[in-house]
Amino acid sequence: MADKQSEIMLSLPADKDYVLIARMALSGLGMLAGMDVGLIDDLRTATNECCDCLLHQPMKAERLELHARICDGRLYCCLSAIRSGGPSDLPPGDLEITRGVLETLMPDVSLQSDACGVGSIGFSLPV
Amino acid sequence: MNDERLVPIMERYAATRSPALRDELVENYLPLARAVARRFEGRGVEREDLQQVASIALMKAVERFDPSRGFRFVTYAIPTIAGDVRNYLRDKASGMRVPRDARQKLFKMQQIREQFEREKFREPSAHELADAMQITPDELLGLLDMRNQTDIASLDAPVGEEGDADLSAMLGVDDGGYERVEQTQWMSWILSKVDDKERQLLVLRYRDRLGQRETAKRLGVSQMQVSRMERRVLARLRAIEESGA
Repeated sequence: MADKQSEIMLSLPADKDYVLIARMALSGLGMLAGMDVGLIDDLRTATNECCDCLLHQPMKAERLELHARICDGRLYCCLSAIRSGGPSDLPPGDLEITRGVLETLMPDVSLQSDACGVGSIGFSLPV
Repeated sequence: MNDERLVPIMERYAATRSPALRDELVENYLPLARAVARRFEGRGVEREDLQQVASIALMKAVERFDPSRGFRFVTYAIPTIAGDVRNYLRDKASGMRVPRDARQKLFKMQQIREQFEREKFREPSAHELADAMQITPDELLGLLDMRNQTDIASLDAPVGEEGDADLSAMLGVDDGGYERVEQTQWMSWILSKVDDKERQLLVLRYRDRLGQRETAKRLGVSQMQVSRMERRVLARLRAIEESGA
């Protein structure tokens, strides 16, 4: 499974209640890839952190999109915010904590930001 | 995190190693440790334990941090705290196929689910079950997932290979029970004790003699739902019959 090209795509309302669906989807993919329980837990925590970060940006997110695939022995994941164009009513998150936590959990993290804040977060890890 | 005002204190602490300064730094950075610990909640360990591990990791970070290297303290501390919390979680989890805490929750889940069904004559939703167990829906889904991987008997298992239940066996009557069921009076008694959906189910299953798969198709539900509903109804009818109500 680990080397078989596979991709999942998920579009969710930008609402913290829906983050659970992203977590379940990614942990399912991790399970298919044969990850151990500890790594799946890390994946769930990282997913939560990414979504939380994307929701707490200056510009309001309308939807969150998740793209993940297993390719060449790695799981690649990207979570991005589809912005609404209006200001967010949620308080901004602490980007430093997000980055620190993600970099502790995942070996390869990248945060894409612009003037409206963090728009997408990607990470990959060997499976 | 704005920690500029703490930079001089950190520098003084690095130079003097004064316990009072260390305590001041730890106290000021405790919200940071707690914020990091919060990220790891819901993984089967109590919040207080996580916060304690994070606090100890914070103290370690304060003691090891060298301001002369030009990094900000939080840049150094966050991975240290997160790493220690994660390692703690991993150590806690290793050696336990199913953590004892999870086993207890699985047992509790089964009890609450059965009690809910007895009281409300239907299955609880995931949210209702999570509320009753005072856990998050996420934790509940994790438990359901775990339950599938353990040998704890599933409540959802169909009665027979094809999910074909035997009313006589379920109601505790002899093999000739079908004839009895077909008797109008008996059927009327049964149908008076069930709601519309259950009535449809019983008619399809025991009057029309359809299999669960076909019954499910007719009712527009899954075979598993038919199986569960049927077991529930039969158990209730048996209880009513036994009580003589």
